[in-house]
Amino acid sequence: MYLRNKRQLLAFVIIVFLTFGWIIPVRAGVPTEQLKEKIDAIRKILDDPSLKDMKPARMEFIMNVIESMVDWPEATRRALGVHWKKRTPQEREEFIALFKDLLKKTYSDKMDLHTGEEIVFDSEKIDEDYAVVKAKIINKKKGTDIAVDFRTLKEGDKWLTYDISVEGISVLNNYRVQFDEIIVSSSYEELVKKMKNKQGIGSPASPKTSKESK
Amino acid sequence: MKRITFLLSVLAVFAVLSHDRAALAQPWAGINQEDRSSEYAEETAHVADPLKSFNRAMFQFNDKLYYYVLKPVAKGYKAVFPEPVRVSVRNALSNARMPVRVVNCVLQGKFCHTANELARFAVNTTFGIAGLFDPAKSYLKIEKHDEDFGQTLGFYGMKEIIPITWPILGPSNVRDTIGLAGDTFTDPVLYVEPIVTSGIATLNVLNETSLTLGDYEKFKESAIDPYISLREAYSQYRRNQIKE
Repeated sequence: MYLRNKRQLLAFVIIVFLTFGWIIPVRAGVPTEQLKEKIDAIRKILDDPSLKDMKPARMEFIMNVIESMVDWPEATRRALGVHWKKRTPQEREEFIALFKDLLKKTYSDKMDLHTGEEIVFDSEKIDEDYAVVKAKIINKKKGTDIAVDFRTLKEGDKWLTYDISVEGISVLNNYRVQFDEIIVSSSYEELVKKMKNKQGIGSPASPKTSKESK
Repeated sequence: MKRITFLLSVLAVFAVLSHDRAALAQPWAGINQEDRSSEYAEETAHVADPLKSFNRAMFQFNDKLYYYVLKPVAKGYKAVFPEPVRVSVRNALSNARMPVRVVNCVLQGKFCHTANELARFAVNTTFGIAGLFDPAKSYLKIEKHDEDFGQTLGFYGMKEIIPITWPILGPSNVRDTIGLAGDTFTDPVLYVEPIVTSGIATLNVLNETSLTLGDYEKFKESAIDPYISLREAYSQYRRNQIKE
């Protein structure tokens, strides 16, 4: 008699839980978790006051995190668009490295400008091996929020980013049009030259950039 | 006993299945097919820009204007007025543009925005002291929906046609230029004395620049060809705004 009641109670609890379980909000999925991990790592370094004087080391750490987050061959292939086909394997390797350097430098600098802002992850959508993670960068002081989408691709058990959209502006598409323009109006070699020139300009630890924040 | 177990298992399976479906029922559209397709490899990224030499010249002009005029003045302005003040100015100017937003909301048939906008305007004008603060957003969580005539035109299917870069105003296109002209009929700022209008316009540019110092420089650093980058960024941004 006693056992039966306990079992019935258990059955009842299970039925209720399972039937209404769908109302419980879904936990963040794997792509979001992985992204969060990387971004949190960067934020920790940026927000740590004791590391403020170690700019070059900080920048390097951030650049390494960014490097591990992105699917570089995929991003570069898409960025070169129709021009990727004609490139030799060596040219492709070279361009992937150049593109990587450009983006790492650009985005590690951008991270610095954003201290004091908060990034909040909204939702994600997974479609087999593609996932889009939607987030917002919130600046409470200025009262602004900026929508950021991360487009990711699954490689093994890692979700790597190949594009970021800020307020609907796809970074990848932006470079794609720039690269196309330069290749069509001059040449691929000219583009490579310009990319190499850029590497020499604006070092990551430039004091000017940190003064511009705020 | 066996029947209960069976019923439980059926319910469990059912619940798990509906759980998955609910999880996937996101409010926004799925992943763009473009991501999967080989479009990137096949389609050209070329954008028609017949006025390119003019546009590039204007871009250069605006670039010089920023570094030699706008930035130094904005820095001085920033040194005098603390950030909260400048954010308030931004709110007040934005509040004053409410008619532009509302008219264009209505033209696009987005009535829910209209009600929100009126509510925001009422709250901000009264409790926000003529719009200097934005309690509607912070306390009532009513988001501002940015609409203008250029977006209305886009909503009804008008394409950009060709990009145009204007001196001072910056990147635009044929549609948005017509849009700007249209906005002059609904923007209350233009119904005051011309000298006040230009004063407010200048203040707006100065204020915004002071709040975003460093952004343009960063942007230029990220681009191989800043003119193209800006042109495309503007175009995509507008397309996104129209879609919303």
